[in-house]
Amino acid sequence: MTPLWLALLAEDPGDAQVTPAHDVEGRQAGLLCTWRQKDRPHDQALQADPRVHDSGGSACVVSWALAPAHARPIADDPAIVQARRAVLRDGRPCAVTLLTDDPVFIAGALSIARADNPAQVAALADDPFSRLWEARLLSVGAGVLGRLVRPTGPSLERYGGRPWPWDLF
Amino acid sequence: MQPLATLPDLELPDHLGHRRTLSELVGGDPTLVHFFRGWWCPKERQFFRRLVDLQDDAEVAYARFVSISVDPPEVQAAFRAGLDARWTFLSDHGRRYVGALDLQEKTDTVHDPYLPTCLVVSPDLVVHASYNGYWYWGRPTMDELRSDFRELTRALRPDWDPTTS
Repeated sequence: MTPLWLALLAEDPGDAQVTPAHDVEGRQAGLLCTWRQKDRPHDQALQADPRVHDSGGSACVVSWALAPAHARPIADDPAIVQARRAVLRDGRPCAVTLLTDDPVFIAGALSIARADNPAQVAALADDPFSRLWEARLLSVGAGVLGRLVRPTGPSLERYGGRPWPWDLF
Repeated sequence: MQPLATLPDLELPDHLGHRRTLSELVGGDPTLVHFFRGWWCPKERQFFRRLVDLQDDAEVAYARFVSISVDPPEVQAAFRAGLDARWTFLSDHGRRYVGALDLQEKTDTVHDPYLPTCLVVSPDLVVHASYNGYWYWGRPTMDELRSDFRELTRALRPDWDPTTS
């Protein structure tokens, strides 16, 4: 599957699918930019599980949790493993993907709730990754995200360094 | 369901009520497909305690579990949470597949549950090992499941022995 790259940028990079993002007060919070390609398209772009990309998806609310660029943990850091366990154990109704900058370190995590599903939106308030890093709740328009990607469990390893929960070698 | 049989691609709601298919859940990994009677059976609760121990191995070993019963999703969700299980449960509350799989426990006419059965399957849903758990001692030990997962993983991963791959 072609890799998915995401970035929250202030300006349109010109080569991405661009969707405005707003904070919970309705203020502009940047542009959610997506690319489907093998090579990294932008120096702020992060890779996500490509299955969350949904051109037919409805409007979403997302929890965008990013580690500080100077303090990104390795993927097997116990805190990251524990957050993934929490996703599996709690059976979260929303979709989750790690955000990666390279095969070794974790840059953050994105939890995705359909805006028209109150249970999914409510689950964002208890995003396990927001316990690790500052998370921003953002509203994103239709046509970008929304597919419910759920790991089977109990396996929570990454497959060839790809962003969890992508689950094929 | 004996070894070399192929499971149908079951389509059922999970413990949160989302429609799932077995093929999607199995993906590319060896998987334990575990049919159980229900939350009320003490044999099931004992066996689940063993599986919950095994999940710590499975979480780092590219192996998956799927547990299936006739309990409704909300009952499964509560049971699963109480067990601290971190895998997917499927609800066949309508008993859609009980007859097709020939896994009806005919002696329990109250709950009309699945016959306790453990199948270890490959990604193409072919049964590698089958355990009839009607009597508790018919169920696999965790060492037997480890052995099944080892054999399937060895067959599936071309780099099982990296010195020869």
